Amino acid sequence: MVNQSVSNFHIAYHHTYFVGRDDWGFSAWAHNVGEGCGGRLSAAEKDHVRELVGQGVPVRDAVQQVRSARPATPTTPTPPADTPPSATGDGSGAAGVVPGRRVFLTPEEFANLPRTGTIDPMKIRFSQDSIKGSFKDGGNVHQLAADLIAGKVDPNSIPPIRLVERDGKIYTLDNRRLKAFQEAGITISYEKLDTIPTKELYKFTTINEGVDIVVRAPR
Amino acid sequence: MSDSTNDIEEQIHGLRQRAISKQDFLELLSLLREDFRVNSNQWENTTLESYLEAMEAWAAQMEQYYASRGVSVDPDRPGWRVFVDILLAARVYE
Repeated sequence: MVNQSVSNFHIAYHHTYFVGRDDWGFSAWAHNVGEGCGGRLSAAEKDHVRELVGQGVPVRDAVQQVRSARPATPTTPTPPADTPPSATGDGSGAAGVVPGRRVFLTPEEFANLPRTGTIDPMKIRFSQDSIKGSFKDGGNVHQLAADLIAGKVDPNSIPPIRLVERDGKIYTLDNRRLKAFQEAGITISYEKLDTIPTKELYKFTTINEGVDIVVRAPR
Repeated sequence: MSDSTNDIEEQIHGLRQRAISKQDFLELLSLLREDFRVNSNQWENTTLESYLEAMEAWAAQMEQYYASRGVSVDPDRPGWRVFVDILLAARVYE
């Protein structure tokens, strides 16, 4: 048991927020929990979003406004270097997120997954360090998340993300879709690949083992 | 995936494996042009603006890519191979 100080903090505009690296010796993880844990809105919250949208408030702003009314329960800094996330944080867990600790899919769990299916997006790592904020067709990553939450987009209409294993960790090659579904807190469709297509190896630029990703601002 | 797609991809992959010379770089540009002509639906970035943006984003983090592959590069003294990688990465970088 390690005695350590715990600080509460709030991160605006992010349902989940992570900062830290193994070589820093610490990391911090904030995740809004409560009735809407996982990003899903309750029926009452959805009604509230619809009401705000009906008043002319953009969907994303309406969702944020409703979410901000929730109690946020930030978590504690994770234990220091003696228990780095990469060494101990990859166990299984039905909730997908536990206080202070991200739970990623393990290679064993990955091997046992059906070739296609759905999965908690929080269990999957990003391969890239950053993504463009828009999709190839021009759609916006954050808007997709808001539309998924508001029920304006059917999650099943979104192509599955491709999952691959690399160095004992499970990554996606479709980072923008994963980001949108993580923000929405909605289960995402996946497809397992046996090997990483050679040309997609260029996507592996993550600097935090795929824990989080930066959305590049348009210039 | 069509035969032409596989063929071009194999040529690109083979070229990427070689020691990169100026002639290899010119050949790569020719292959990329052909790939875009017949396989643009496989490209993530199909406008010049998005392609350039992807080049910038990938180049900014390319050391991480090379480190993940156990390759050491000097970003201040890039060779033809790095230029090839930047062009190839921008095809798929989100």
